[in-house]
Amino acid sequence: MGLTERFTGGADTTKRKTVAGFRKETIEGIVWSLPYLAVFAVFLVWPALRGLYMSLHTYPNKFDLSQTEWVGLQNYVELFNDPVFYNAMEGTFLFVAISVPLLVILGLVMALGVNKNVAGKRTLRAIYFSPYVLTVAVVTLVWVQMYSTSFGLINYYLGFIMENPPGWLTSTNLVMPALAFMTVWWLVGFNFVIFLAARQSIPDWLYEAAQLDGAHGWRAFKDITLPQMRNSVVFVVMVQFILQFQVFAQPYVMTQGGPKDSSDTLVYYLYRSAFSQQEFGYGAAMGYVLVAILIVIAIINFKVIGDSND
Amino acid sequence: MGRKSATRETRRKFIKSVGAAGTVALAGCGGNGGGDGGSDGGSTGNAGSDSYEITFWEPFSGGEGPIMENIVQQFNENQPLDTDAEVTINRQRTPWDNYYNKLFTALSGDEAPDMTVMHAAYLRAWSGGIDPMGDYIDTDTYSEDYTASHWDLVTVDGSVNALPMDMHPIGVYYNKDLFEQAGLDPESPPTNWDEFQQAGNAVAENTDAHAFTQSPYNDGFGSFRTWSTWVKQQGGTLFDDEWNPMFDNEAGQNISQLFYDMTGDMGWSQQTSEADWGNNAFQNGNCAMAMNGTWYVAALDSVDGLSWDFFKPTVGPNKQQDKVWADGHTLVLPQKQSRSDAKSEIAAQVAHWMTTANPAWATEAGHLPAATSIYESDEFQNSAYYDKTLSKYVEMAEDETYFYHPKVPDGDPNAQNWYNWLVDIWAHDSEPQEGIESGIQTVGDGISG
Repeated sequence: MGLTERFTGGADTTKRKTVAGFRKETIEGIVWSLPYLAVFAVFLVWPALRGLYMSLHTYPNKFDLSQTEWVGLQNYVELFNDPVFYNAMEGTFLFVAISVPLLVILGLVMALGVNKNVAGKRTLRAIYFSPYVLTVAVVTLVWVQMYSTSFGLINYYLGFIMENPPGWLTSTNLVMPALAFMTVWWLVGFNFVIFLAARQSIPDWLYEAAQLDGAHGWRAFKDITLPQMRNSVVFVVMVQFILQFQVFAQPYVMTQGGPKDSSDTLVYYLYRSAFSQQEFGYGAAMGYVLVAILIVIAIINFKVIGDSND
Repeated sequence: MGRKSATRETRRKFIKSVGAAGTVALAGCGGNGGGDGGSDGGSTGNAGSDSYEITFWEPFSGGEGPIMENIVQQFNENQPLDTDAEVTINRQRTPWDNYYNKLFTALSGDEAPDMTVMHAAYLRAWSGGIDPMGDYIDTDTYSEDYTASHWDLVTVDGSVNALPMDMHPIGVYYNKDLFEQAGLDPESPPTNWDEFQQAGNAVAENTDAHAFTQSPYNDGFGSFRTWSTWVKQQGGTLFDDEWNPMFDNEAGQNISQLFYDMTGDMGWSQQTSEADWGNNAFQNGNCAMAMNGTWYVAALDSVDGLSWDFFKPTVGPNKQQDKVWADGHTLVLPQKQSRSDAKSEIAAQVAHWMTTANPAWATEAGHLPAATSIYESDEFQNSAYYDKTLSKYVEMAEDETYFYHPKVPDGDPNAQNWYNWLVDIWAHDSEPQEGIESGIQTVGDGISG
């Protein structure tokens, strides 16, 4: 037995190198990840744990958060008996039900449209994406003016074809669709870019092969485009569910939850509870309920559209 | 929090014994190497030297913003305090939208400013987060510098929690051109319900304009100002002694029904919950009368071609008494562990100077001044808005017409969502009774937490 073999106990040198390489890679990976993990721990894990702690406590002196009182699940029990919470949840679900499908379908349609050899497609790309660069404050303020019944652009033009254009932000039935539509206009550019990149990464030979087999149009879309873009679709749907469930600025700036609380949302109610009413424990409990809802939706999402790579 | 409670009484007695001048001198000494340490928290004040930087939050914009900016600038340039210490105000404007939420967050993180503007309505709910003025100044002596009603405004359960800047009650602003178009005498505005009703009907019938807006901003809080004014005029009660909302009384129902009718059968206004609807309509000459506060004058003066005037809002239906809603801006010292006592005393002196030595806040911003010296001054009585609005506001003050916005014990007394039910009634999104019940629930929950 040679010296090397004596040290390695006779193990295969190649295997030893592989193990050493694996260890090195692992250590390097951890080192490279550390900065992010530190940020992740400080800005996500710690606040999440702190939020859980807060949701199980009340604050006898609202100006001194170091004084706490253990209340167990009382905040959650109160929450599930709170009609305002259910109204806000209903509003949030309605907003998500309108905005997410539109954001996904429109983004996909726009991406597939621009992917074709249409004239001015570069300009179209810029136009489609441009609203996304605006901040929510700008978007909401602009759309408050657009929707105005007194001087809004939308009702000005509608006035040519109908006698009494609707009050978009003042009708209990129309306010949530109006907020959702505005959100789609603002955010669809992000989905468009993701879908366009995904579509352009699909190799042409797949379509050529499909054509030889007689698959065109809808068939090619269903059997090639959609499966090849599955990961992008899953990503976009997930991101949009998470973002739209957290809708806040639109009702906060544009309607303050009205009229008649018809545009109230979970995060807007959470904000009012925690900061305006200074009930941090109650607000934290609401945050955790929102997280639970998003986890359930994520699971359903993966089961329905993300579970297979066939 | 509560750090000085043990020494508070001793300090108070000492301050009373040395008087105001002594307080300033003490503060100056404290800054000059005395006091309690070199930490001044979030500010850059130097307790170890004879200079202090007082961080000051204020929310004023529009016509009020430049006036406050100028007051601060004057202070920093002229150093008006009777002390050797160099004192500068670091003014930080914080927009109204999130003002109290930001202040609350700052307070709970011990990062509050040294001095801040606060509506008097908050002085009870926030009493746990502010240092009483009596800890740093002799309130018995200083009370003589302010009108009795203003001093009353800042006193909560016997504790002087702030120094008063102003009082800003409401009144009715009207468009003289529209009055003329409607066949009314623009120089003889309504003085009672019959005349008010007649004027509103005349505008509705004889012009294309709307007759009245309950709040130019068409918001919950603004609507409450008008609604509570007329409820109180009918002798109605807003809260019982335990701070339970009592809106569901006859007066509350009557005025809620009146709101509903104004945009309904009476045809006075548009059934809408659109924000700022009334402001746009009034400033564009499409609405004859708007109920709003003292602050409205600066905005109206900036509108070209708008011929407006003002009358007292004591024109509610079935009036039993003259009552008008009022609140006031005050200056408070938020609690801050890291602020030295010496610096707090300086900040209290700054607050005193700001509230007593600046007539511009009344003469230019149009508020009722808190300081007796300004109130009685020729400068105030000869100011641009005096004849139009301020003289009438003064008359109402002297007649003890004002009642204060409820200083609730908890929650956010200016929260829009507490009173959005009034906008729902105005816009016919709710029936009056349904709206009142919703209001009682919302406000009751807001106060009880």
